[in-house]
Amino acid sequence: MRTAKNDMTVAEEFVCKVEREARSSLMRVYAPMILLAVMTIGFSLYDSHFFSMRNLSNILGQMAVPLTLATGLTFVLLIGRIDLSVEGVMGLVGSSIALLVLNSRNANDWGVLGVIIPIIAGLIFGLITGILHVKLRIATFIITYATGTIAAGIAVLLYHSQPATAKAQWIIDASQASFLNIPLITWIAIAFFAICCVVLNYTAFGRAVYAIGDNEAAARASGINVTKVTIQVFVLSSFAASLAGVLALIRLKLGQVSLGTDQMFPCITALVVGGTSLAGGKGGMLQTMVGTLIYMELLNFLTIIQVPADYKKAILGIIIIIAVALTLTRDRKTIAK
Amino acid sequence: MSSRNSFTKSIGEYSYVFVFLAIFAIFAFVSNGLTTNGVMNIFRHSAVIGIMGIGMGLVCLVGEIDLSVGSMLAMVSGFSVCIYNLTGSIILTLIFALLFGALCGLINGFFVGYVKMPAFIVTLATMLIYRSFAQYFCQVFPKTILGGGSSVYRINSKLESYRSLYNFGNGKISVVPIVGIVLILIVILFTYITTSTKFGKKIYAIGSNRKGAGMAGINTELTTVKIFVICGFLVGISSFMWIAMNASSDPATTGKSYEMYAIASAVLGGISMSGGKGKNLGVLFGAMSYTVIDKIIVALKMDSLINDAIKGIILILVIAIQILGPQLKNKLGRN
Repeated sequence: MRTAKNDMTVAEEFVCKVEREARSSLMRVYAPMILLAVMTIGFSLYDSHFFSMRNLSNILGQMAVPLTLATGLTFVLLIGRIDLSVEGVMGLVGSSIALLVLNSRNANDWGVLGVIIPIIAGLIFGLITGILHVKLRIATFIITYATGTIAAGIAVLLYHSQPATAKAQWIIDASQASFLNIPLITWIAIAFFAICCVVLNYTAFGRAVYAIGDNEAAARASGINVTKVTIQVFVLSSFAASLAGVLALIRLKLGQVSLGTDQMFPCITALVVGGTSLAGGKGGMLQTMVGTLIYMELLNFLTIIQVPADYKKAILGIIIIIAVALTLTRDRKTIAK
Repeated sequence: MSSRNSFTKSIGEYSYVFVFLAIFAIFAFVSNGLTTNGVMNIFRHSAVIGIMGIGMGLVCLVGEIDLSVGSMLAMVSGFSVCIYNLTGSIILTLIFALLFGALCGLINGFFVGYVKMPAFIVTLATMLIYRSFAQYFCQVFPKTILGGGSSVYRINSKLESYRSLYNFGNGKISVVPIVGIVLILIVILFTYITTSTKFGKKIYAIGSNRKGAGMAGINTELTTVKIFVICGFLVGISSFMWIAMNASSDPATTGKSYEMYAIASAVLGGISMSGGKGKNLGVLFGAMSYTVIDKIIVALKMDSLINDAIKGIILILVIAIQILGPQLKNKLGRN
């Protein structure tokens, strides 16, 4: 192992730098996986219930919504942006579906249309966010916060503080259906995750996403339509948020804004713990899955050992700091775009 | 010609003032005329968020972010209430609030500056931790310290010095609320620090080019830590004002989403989130714009549930104007 010294030639220094970067990227990929393995083994040894089939399917059932959101957010983080609007979009889609299908509050029974129209509304939000960001160059942290609150506000106006309970038969069926002990909604999330894996790794769009995250100016110079790809990423993220809204509604059946509350920060945490960089360009779908699993296992374990809800958050916070300090290679710039 | 150029330039630079005046004019229109009280209340209600916004503005200027300020407000104000109930001394409470706020900021700053973790993640984690501590200790502490409240920190109003604490939070000097004066003094102080001191120059240098600033001999780590400590210190002042104004602090709701309001005030005031650009003076107008928007919504008797959505729309509009305004002017000037 070589370290930089004063008497090196430029070539030697360059080799040194490349080696250092290779080491740090190896660390970025493997440290979260080792962490996941250690956690799984440690938790199982501590409490034999942890690795039981019942608890695992429980974890997988809770994972559907975070995995869907995290999948969409992966693209956003990869291009070095952030999307805070997913919570609002999720709440809007979930609560408006509850109002449009057979429900407890009004006489609507639109069937499939009742799902498609809210999802399209969610996509429009993503489109508006993307266009406002690239055309006006407003930092995504602010613009997505604003569009998120607008989406949540519209949702609250729609149901006027009396949320509807979805009573459509297909929603009840979907919430109970499972295959191989894994709930249907988790299978939907996994399918979405798999499709996004292919999109990110094997399409021109996916390569453009990495290129933009790595170096936006270079990507633009090499002929990538940065504007278009950025807008597409935000539409994709809001589609993931809409899908998460549908899944959350299937799970909970009560269509209110709080379907989406406090969902986004845990997902971003999961992504970063998994090894995706907040600065863009580094990370991927594997990291997303590992990070989400780490987060869900931790949450589940804290529940199993009966940590009171009041300081569960504090423990999570401390563990996030430790995990990120251990696994993350040092990024200076974050969330500036 | 040159005078006209400098005029348009100053319009671009001080656009936050015009934005505030425009929103203020709408407020004057919808509330059927202004009263001195109504106008002075704007200062009063901007005080807490304005001071937090100043701290957030500094953090944004070095290109970092602090998501923990809302939870910090809940924890620091809650524990300050306990200190007040125990000692009955205003001075001790104030000193505790300031030092404890600075300590919280130091924790953030240590991880961001020296461990070199992304501020976004560190402050996200401390946001969870501080809020959780506020909620946990509210159930653990004996009732006498909590002022007899259940699941809320309440000031014991039977204490001798309560009157003067209440007066600080709700009193006025002639017509101006005392907390408003504190806000203005702090704005003046930090405008001076950012524009006319070495430390201020360092902040802008780090914000616009961290590597370059480091090479020029600026201790970027230490400066970053200092900024986070100052931000925590300002949250300490806000916390003290909060308990003086409200005489209680609810660990579950106090300061909820205040980090976003503070960031929005900073951005409305023209501070760039990528660092190095903007003026601290703008934050005052940003925070006041936000307060006035609140008042407009109340005056129009709109559903309070839609409050955040309207703020969101106005936020987009204002930033769009700030960005498009100079571009438009350039085009007009060329023709």
